[in-house]
Amino acid sequence: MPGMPGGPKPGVPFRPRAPEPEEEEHGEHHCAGHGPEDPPPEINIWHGMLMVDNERALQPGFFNQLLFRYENPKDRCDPRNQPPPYLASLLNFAILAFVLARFGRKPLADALLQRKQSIMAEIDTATRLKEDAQARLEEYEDRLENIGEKLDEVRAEYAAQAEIEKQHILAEAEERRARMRRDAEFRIEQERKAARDELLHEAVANATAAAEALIKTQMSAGDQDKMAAAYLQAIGAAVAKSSTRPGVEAR
Amino acid sequence: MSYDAIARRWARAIYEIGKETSSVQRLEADISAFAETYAESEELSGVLDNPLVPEAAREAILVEIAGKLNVSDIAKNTLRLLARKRRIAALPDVARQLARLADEDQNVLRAEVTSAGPLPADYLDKLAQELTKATGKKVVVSHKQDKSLIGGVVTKIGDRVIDGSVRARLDGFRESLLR
Repeated sequence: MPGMPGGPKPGVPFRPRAPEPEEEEHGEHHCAGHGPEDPPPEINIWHGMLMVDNERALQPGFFNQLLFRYENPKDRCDPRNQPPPYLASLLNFAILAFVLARFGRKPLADALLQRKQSIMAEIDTATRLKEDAQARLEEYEDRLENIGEKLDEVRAEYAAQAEIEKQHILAEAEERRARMRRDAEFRIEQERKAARDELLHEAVANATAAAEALIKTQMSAGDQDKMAAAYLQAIGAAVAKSSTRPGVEAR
Repeated sequence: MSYDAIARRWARAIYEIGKETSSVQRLEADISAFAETYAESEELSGVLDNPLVPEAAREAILVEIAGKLNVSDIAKNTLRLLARKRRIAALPDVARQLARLADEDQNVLRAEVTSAGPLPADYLDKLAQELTKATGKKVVVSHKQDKSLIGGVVTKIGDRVIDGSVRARLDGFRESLLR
């Protein structure tokens, strides 16, 4: 900028410091006057505010220097190369700030508000989750602290149930054993009675058969007559008694 | 098939007729004779019971047989009435009921005497006399043999049984052993 330190004087083309011969340091290539130990180059404040135009930038005149600047893309060590003007950057920034302030304030504010609300909601959710997690943690810690007692209680309960079940099974087995024994004794008694009855019937049948056979062989006509006579004597009394029991009346 | 109820009514009616005509004994004898013939002859019972045989033919057969048996007119009419009413199948039961009524009318009891062997007639007479003395009624005795009794005598009078057989004693002996 004219009048500013480091700026070119009006009517005098901007002359950056002439580069020195190329130097090799730490394996890097630097233009002359651009090495790490060289003073910083002069700042281009206002030359070439509009565009790069090497031909017009070298022509004299304020407007040529204001609007155009020189830049050799093929030789970056060309001593006539001019960096972009600082004023152009300021101007761009001012325009950007204006545009942002003019057109982006409300949407930006809304977006920021929305973002703030969403962040607050997320913070609330995270807080709630944290509290829940904390509560669960405390609960688990509490459980972990009492897990030994719980374990003992559960063990004792299972042991008591197992004992009850054992007693129940033993009682049931004892009852079943007693019942089976009673049944077996009853069956044995029944079988014994049946066998005794069968033997008795068989013996009686044999005895009566033998008696019948003996009577048949030994009964004579005289015996028949005696029996008939005895029957005749007893029949009157038997009829008078009106008894119907067989074999009694005529004896 | 039992005709007890029907037989009782018919027997009572015939008995009343016999009482009115003072011919109960004759009537009972005629009905019993015809009933015996009817029960013994399957051909006769088959014809008289057959509804396919015309009623006139059945009646003619009945009258002819009754005539041969010398049955009284009252008995003949009774038999014809039974045939018309289709109750001829109940005739044996009617005869039995009528005999019972006739016996009651005559104050007679019938005794059935069973023995293992034969019994002399005088023994049966004595037995009848003893029974008459014991019951107070005239007892008519009939006799049959049954060798399964082994020995002794059994008398059945109505519902009563006086058993003096060896078989009964053996049964009693067996019962006493089984007790």
